[in-house]
Amino acid sequence: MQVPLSGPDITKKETDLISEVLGTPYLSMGPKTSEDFEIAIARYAGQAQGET
Amino acid sequence: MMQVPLSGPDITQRERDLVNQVLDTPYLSMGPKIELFEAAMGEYVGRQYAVGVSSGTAGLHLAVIAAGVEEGDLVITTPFSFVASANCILYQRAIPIFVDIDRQTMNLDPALVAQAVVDLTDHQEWATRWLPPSMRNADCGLRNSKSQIGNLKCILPVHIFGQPADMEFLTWIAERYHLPLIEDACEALGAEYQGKKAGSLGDVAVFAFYPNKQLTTGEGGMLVTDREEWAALFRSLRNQGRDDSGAWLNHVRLGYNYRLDELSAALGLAQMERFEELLSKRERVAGWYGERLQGLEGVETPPISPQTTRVGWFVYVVRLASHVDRETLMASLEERGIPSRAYFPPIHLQPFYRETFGYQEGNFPVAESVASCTLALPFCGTMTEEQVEYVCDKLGSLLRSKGCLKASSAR
Repeated sequence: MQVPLSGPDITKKETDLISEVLGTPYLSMGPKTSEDFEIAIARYAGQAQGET
Repeated sequence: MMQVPLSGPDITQRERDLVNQVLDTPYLSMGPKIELFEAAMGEYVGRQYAVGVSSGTAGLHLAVIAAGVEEGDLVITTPFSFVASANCILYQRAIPIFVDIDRQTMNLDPALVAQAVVDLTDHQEWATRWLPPSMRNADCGLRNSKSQIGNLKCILPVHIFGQPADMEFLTWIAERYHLPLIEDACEALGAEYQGKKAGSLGDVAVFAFYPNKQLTTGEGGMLVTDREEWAALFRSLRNQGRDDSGAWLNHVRLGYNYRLDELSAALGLAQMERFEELLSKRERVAGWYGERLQGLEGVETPPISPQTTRVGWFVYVVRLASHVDRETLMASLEERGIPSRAYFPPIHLQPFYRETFGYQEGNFPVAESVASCTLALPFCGTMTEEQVEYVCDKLGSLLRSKGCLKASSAR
């Protein structure tokens, strides 16, 4: 058996969101980072506001 | 009203496919795609080694380290550029020595660079005039003094807006004084100087791949060089100072996390495959602008040096006549759905540089005069002829109306 040391867990959801970004002009500092991802992390960590 | 974007990337199904391929593997960083991207870039530029990094700024930092720049050392560079080309010197706690630019090409004036190099190495009594104002203390000698001012270590020209600096003259000076030459080619992928590619002209060159660039990876950059030992150093420095023995937790120097992730590398690889197409599309848009703006009163199209055998069109920057009020013009264009930018405010007049080094208006008159009248119009390879037509049409009618003239010159 070949056991990997580690590995990411990627699903259709990840692929879809990345494809979505590639369909917009915002490849850096767009709505996916500044809004969705930061807010999600902040909420998860119990903070009002996050910043990348 | 038409809404014209300032810029935008050119992404096709090929880019999506390669990015998706990465997502199907466990290699989301430092996998096979970055190696292919590096190989493609090295081959394109004609360099033996290419090392991908997380941004052009990170690449510039590593290039400055390789040139041996340490605390207090001096690096000659241009004040007319994006701030990162001077910040990379400050990361090493070294001192940027700004030298004024050539009015036509907006790149470093090589004759002034020659004078600065001579003064800073052979004629120390004249050296202080090149230092930032806050360091021009009379007691402040250069070498072997008690001050913290070190040696001149390298020259860092920027190929501004996709047009190469006068590398023949700069190389001659650099070789004569044994100074490494770092090409900041972050705005100039695809450009050619005397038939040679930007990035193949100095000891090391740096490219950048922000979304408004000729080729994008989202965020990303690349170092290219023929020096094997520098390439090995870059690979170590970008990867937390690891050595190349393969021992993952052996750190032999102070390094950084400047790695380019695999998704970005895949995007870059797909763009590299299409690069001639990407650059040609930008040339076509620049051509449309040139045809329509030629002869329009109040605006001058970008001057191209005879040394520039190909422009690596990054932005389309016109110059406005002195009687045009740029602020009013920009606001009026914006109202008509046309964004524009005053590229670039000189680095020495940025608040942080004024505060740290005591710079003020008048220190670099050519850079300041050029910066006061430049205007970047919407530009990218995906722009349509209709959009260019619309921008030029609106620009023309605004320049003909009296609304955008400076009060003093209203007739």
